[in-house]
Formats: sequence, structure tokens, C-alpha cells
Amino acid sequence: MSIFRIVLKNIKQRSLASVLTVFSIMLGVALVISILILKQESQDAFNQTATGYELIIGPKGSSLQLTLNTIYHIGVPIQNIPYDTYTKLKDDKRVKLAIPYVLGDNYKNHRLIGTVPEIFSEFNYQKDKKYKLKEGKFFEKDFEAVIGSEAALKTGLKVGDKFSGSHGVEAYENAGDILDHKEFKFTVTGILEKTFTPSDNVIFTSMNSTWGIHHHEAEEKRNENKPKDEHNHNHDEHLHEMKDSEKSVTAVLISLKSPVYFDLLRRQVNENKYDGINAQAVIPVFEIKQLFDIIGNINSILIVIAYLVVFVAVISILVSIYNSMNERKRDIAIMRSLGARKNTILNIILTEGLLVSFIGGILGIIISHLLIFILKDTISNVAGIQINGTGFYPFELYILTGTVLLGVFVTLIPALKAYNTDVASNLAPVS
Amino acid sequence: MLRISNLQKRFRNADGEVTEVINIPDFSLQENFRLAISGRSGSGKSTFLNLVSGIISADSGEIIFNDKNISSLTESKRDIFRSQNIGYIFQTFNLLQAFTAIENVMLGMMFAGKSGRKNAEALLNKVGLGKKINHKPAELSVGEQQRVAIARAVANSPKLILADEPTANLDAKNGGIAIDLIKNICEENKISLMLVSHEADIINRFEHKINFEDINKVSA
Repeated sequence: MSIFRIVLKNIKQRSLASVLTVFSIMLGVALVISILILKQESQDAFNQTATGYELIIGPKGSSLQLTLNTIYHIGVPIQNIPYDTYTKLKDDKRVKLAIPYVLGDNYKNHRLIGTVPEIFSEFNYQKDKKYKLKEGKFFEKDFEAVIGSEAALKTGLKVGDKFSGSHGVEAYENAGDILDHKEFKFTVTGILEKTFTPSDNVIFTSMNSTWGIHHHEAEEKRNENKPKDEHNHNHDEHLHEMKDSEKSVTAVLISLKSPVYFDLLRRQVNENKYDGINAQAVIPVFEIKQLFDIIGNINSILIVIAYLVVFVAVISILVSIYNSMNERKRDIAIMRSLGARKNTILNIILTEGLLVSFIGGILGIIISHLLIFILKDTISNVAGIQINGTGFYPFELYILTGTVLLGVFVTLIPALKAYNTDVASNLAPVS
Repeated sequence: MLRISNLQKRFRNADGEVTEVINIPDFSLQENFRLAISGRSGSGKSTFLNLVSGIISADSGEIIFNDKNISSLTESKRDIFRSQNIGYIFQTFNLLQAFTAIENVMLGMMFAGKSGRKNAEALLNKVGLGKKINHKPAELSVGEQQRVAIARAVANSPKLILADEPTANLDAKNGGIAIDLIKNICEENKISLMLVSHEADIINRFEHKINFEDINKVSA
């Protein structure tokens, strides 16, 4: 027989009230930890995604919009910049690698990104990480496509399958097939290994493929009033007909030969001192930090609300144990008559508060991880970032400790009531 | 073993009036001695036992137990004193309902810093409950519940057992069995006993008996 066993008996004796109290603490802790894990993992995911290169060059406008659109494939592109901006940057001696992105179409809500083969051979999407093929091969010709792992999973496309893109970076509901580019069929040549980045949801193809579709459509509109025989031609011709001045790119990802060029190039572009380039240069890591500073404020409100939920839940320990004190007075008096010291009674009640808050806290941590694990695909779809919920963070230990300490603290009130229970009057026979 | 002098206890009632409940000029109990104390209900017998056990403190006077004045001890020290020296048997048995028979016995041992499931089992065997050690009080008859309470009172090898109307809730047959059991266990273990009761049949089973009014000199 030990104090712990007495506590377990007490909890078991009031099983319904104990279960409800544990449940409310579990919910509160799960809420706080879920919010904090989501914050932590989304921040980590955003930061990691942006560490493979130093700069993004794109049209002037919102720097955040450029970053989100280029790296996380969220929102619409600002505009396009001339193709020769890309060629100038590519030929810049300070630039190790320039990767262009040409946006414009999607397949079932998965963006088609026109780019160059170097994205697979030389580009690091994260520090020291290159795209690898799960099956098939990288695209070599126009209208060949390499698809991200999630895009393959969700669209069901396999190597060798053909598909047509739709106009716009996102699919529009109720648009039917009116926006489809049916004349142009892409062939899937490869499927990428999972990278746990937003790139898992996109489809890579050549720049020519993306330009060709839209150039063709522009030509078709211009020729609408001309006799049919005057504009009968092969689609491939459009790809060769385009002049460089007609081409444009949505953004260029820049990896530099040395960090010393980093600020210089950025200033040159942003202060319109780079000859022939009218664009903006953004530092993705900096933009993301700013974004998180803004989100942080909203997050703080959510966390305060979550902490209040935990507080209310912990108060339920006080209510539950305090309400039981009347029916427990006799038991306490009996224990005192058997020689239990006042401090022993105090310890029994405090241990009960400790145990209930500890069990609730532990269950809350487990539930929060389970919840995030179950919802990780939904979160990935909505936010474009990979979250798994399997990591354990130090703040979980702090929250558990805080919950237990608060639980013990509020239990002091009923514990003191138990401490001061009058023995003689509560031992008297009940008439 | 127990020597009491000028013991006084008063209570204030709801109207603020002070009533004297205990006024014992002199009382003593020898070691290994069994005493039955008779007295009408409300005469202060239970208060007297609570004072002797240290559950409540006296307003004045001395309670010397084995040369230690327990009336001068702090509440915490009285708790320790009680767990090591006193066994208590109540009219309503006062068993913890969530605990089994053996757990109730072991609970008293725990507060005295003792342990030993085997000892608790042996005691329950002795009171005839060897097959019901894992039964909760609600699963036992009233007679059996009182036997658990008797085993619990003896578990710490106390020097004195205080029995407060131990048969009041039992029928005559079970009352007789309980009294014989208490007497036998006390005699076997050389434990002193102070048993209070208002039932003449119970008092008459004891060789040594006194009337509580003879030692308690409260003013009428």
C-alpha cells in the first residue's frame, strides 16, 4: 500500500469525473501542441525549401508574391520578365546557375513549369539536394514532362501517359474543358522521387513547350479573320517561329558563385543599375522571415487562446476534486484516525491533481501528433508544404511540465480543504 | 501506561454557549488491562476516546501515555503517536469503501510506516475472513465488516485499543462474537483495551468495568 495506490483508488472511485477531467486537459494540451507543431514545422519547411539558392529575380511588384509564387507555387504570378533578362543573368560571370520558370498552365491544378534541363542536372532545390527520378527519364524534347511525386499520385499519370494542360496556373471550377489546350499533348517521361517540398506537386517541362502553346493561341486569334488555307500549319512550327523578344519568363532562381556577389547583384537589380534588366531581386529566406513575422502575430493570438483552453481545462481539476471533497471528508477522517498525517492527506490530493494533469498532458501530446499525422496530406495540399508531426520538440516538454505544475497548483485549494478536515466530527456515525 | 489528570474539554455550541463535556480529575489504565466503560449516550465517552487517541486536543490537563504527555504534542506528532500506539474500532466500522478488506488493514499499517501483506492476511485469517480478503466492504456482512475493522485496529501492534460502541450496529449474536474477538486478540497480544458502550450486556462481559459518569465530573 502506498500513496500512489490510494490516489489510483480515488481516481477509480470517481472514474467518470476523472475521465472527463483528463479528457478536457487532453483537448487543451492537444490544441496548444498542434498549433505549435504546425507553426514550427511549417516554418522549418518554408525555410528549408528556400535554402538551395540565394536569389529570385522576377517582375517588379510584391516581393512576397514573387517568393510564394516561385518557391511554394502559391498565388498567381505578378507578370513576366523578358527572356533576355534570363540570358543576361545566365551569362553573368558571378552567377553559378540560373534556372528560369515559365508559368501559364496547369494539369488538374498541378502547375506546369517550363524550365531548362539543368534543373535536374545542376540545380540544388535544397542545400546539396538534387531532383532524382523515381522512374523514367528527364525530359529531352519539347512536350515531354517530368512530374512530381504527389502530382503523379493525385493525377494517376504514369510514364508514357499523355495529357493536355489547361490555361492558368490553377484549375477553375465549372470551366469544363473550355480552357484545355487539346491540340498539345504532353508525354510523361519521368516521375520524381519525393522531395517533401512544394515541387512534389508540380510538372516540369521545357520552356519551349509552355511558350509554344501560348504563342500558338495568340497566332490563332490573329488569324481568326483570315481564310482557312492561309493559316494551316504544323504546331511545331510555332516553337521555331518565336523570336527571343517574344519570349518571357516568370522568374529566375539564382545560385551564385560566391556569397560576396549576393548583396551586390541584389542591389544592382533593385536599384535599376543592371544594364538591360528591369526587374526585382528578392532574398527568399528574408521574405519568408518577414511573412512569419506577420503570421507570428496571428499565431500568438491563437496560442493565447489555446493556453486559455489549457488553463480552463486545468481549472476543471480544481472543480472536479473540490466538488468531491464533501463526499471524501469521511474517508479523510478515517485515514487521519488511522494515523495519517495532515501532510500525507495533502500529498494524496496533490498527487491526484498531478496524475490527472500528467495523464491529460501526455494524452494531449499523443493526440496532437496523431492529428497532424492524419491531416498531413490535407495540410500539404492546402499550404503546399510538407508536415509530418512525427518529431518531438522541446516545447512539448515545457507545456507538459507547465500543465502538471498548474494542475498541482490549482489542486492546492481542495488539498488545503482536505488538510483542514475536522477528524472527530467526520468520524461520528451518520444518523 | 495511561494516566490522566485534570483533563478538561469544552465545546461552543451554535448559540455561542460554552458547554463543558469532559472534566476528568484523575484516571489511569494499567498495561495489558481490559476495561469496559458504560455510560448514557451524549455523556462524552467518544470525546474522551478522541482525547486519549490525540484526534482532538484538550483545553487543559494532562494525558500521559507511557511517560509521554500527548496533550502537549503538536497535531502532527499526535498523528504519529496514534499510528504507533493506538488501534481504533468504531461503531460504524469506518472502512474505506473503495478498498478491499486486506487493503483496509494494510492502510493502517502504511500510516505507521509498516508494511507486510502476509501479516495483514494472517490477521484476516484470524478473524475468519481468510477467504474474503479481496472483498470490498459492500460485499461483506456488517459482522464481517466489523471483523475487518478489528483486524485493522490490531495491525500496527498498538499498545492500546479504543473501541467506541463497537457492537451498536450489530445484532446480539454478531455483537457477542465481535466482543469475544476483540477481547481474545487483546489478551493474546497483551494489548490494553478501553471499550465504551451503553449496552449493559456488552459491559457485563468484562471483568473490569466503570461508569463514565463516575470519572467525568462535568457540572450539570
